[in-house]
Amino acid sequence: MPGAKLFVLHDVTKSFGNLVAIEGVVFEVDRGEIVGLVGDNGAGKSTLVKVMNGFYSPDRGVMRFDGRPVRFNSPRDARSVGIETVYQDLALIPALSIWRNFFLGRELKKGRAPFMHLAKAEMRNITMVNLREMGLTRLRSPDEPVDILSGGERQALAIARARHFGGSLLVLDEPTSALSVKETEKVSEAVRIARDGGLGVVIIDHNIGHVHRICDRIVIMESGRVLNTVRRDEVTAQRVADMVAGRHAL
Amino acid sequence: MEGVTSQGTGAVTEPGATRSVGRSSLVSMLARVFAVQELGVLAAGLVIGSVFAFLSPEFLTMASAGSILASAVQFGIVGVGVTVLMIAGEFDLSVASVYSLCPLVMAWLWIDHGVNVFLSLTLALALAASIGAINGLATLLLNIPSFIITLATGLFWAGVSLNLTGGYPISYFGTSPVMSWLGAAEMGSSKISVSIFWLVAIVVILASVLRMTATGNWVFACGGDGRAARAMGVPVAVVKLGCFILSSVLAAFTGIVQFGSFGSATPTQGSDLALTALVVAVVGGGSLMGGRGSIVGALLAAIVLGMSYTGLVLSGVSTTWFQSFVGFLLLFAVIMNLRMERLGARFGVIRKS
Repeated sequence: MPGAKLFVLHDVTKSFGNLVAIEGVVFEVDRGEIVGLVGDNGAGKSTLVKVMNGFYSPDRGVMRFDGRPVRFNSPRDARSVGIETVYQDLALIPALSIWRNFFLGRELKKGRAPFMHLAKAEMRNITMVNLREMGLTRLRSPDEPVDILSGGERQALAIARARHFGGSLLVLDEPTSALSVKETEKVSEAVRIARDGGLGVVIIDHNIGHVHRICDRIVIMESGRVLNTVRRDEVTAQRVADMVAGRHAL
Repeated sequence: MEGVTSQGTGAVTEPGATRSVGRSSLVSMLARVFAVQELGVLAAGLVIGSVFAFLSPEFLTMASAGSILASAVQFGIVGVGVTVLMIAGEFDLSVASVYSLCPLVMAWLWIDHGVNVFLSLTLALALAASIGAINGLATLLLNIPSFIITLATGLFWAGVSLNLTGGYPISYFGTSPVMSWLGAAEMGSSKISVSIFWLVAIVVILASVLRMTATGNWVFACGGDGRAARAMGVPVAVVKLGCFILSSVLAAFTGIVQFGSFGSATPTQGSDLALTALVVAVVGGGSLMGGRGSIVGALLAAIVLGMSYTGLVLSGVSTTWFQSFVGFLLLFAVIMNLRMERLGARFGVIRKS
């Protein structure tokens, strides 16, 4: 549906037994927009993200992707409409080369059975082009194992892969935890490039300073509800941190 | 084969980004040498070969080559099957029992019960496939390490072997062409058994599948990080099950080739083959943690083991020292593999994957 927002959640609720993890959540993310999801531990960020990427089905509420109502019963359903999740552990195989990781499970092949084989040159080139676009210019060869990549480069690789394989919404779960400042900047760069290419991005992050630097909008959660939604240019990082810490009056 | 690289990636390699590679011809040459993954086992082979050639004048003869290759076939076919399974992150300790049971079953059906020879051969291999499938299903469904599962099934099938014929071997004295093809025939006037062709064919097919196909990519991914592989849509359980079946069928086939070569199937033969196959996989560059390994490396390791066995006999040392020798070789090759990799990394070597 033209003109419709990329992904809209309305009045979404999810409980586990007696525990209400998220309640009445309203959330939206559009193409070319980075939305940060912040909140203290137990605020419901993880549950909300797992509802978005199909890991959980919501008990109540409506989700619309590209204007069409969607219902995900598994992460595969979410992936099939174009929601790619980059998990903390990144789903990369350290001992395999960069290009083999990039195409793992979606390898390009040529030739006829029984001599069908990998289109290696093509996959190497596509991998390098994608990684260059993500700002990884230091790489010498797509044949190097993922082992040698830094944490930030691995994130960028996972983001590049999700983007290449038809993702229109990227969901990043704590992409910069345990990364140095320099590495975090590499991830931010990759995320901005993905956004500028027209993708929607949702980021969960504990680092408020980082979220404030990179996101266009910030959604603050508390006790399973959306406490506030702010535009980046309206508030300071300190103000966001205060809201997360529950110092609303300040 | 994982050959040489350095600047071979041409279009996609930035000139400024190549660190030390290509800085001087010497460094570039060293880089090319270290890019050969199987360097450790190759070095071990050269050292051992030279020592035996020095100790015994007969070591470099055709008869000796025949003996070396016969041993290499035995260690090699089992070894590459176990290597593939190890790359996928699993073990098979039951290969020794399958190696003795399946040719025995074939001989029992064919010679003792007059079943058609091809049907006997097919049934023996089908039995091996079933044993592999049981190993795989038990490991995956019960979520118990394959090391334990295959140790248990290996012991069980060893008992079945002993009871099938009451511990006695079954011998064949005829001239069936099937036995000739399996290994009884020798090439021309040489002492080299045709069984070497089976080894070469299996190595070529498996090496190609591992490096050139998506299936091969998935085998490495399963052993490297099964959870990540599953997240990327790789059918991990199916891939592993296939590797268990492959390892078992190749162990049975090795036993059948031995039966063809020597005309006798013995319930107790090859009892130490399970560990020897692991040695082949590890000396060839495989990792016990999974995700790494090389078919060509395993082939070289099998040849080195064959050389050692024949060399010990020819130089007048008792073959009872063979196991001690294998232990020494294992340690040497693993240390070499690690050292070479680190040296290679220092020269900025990129191995083609």
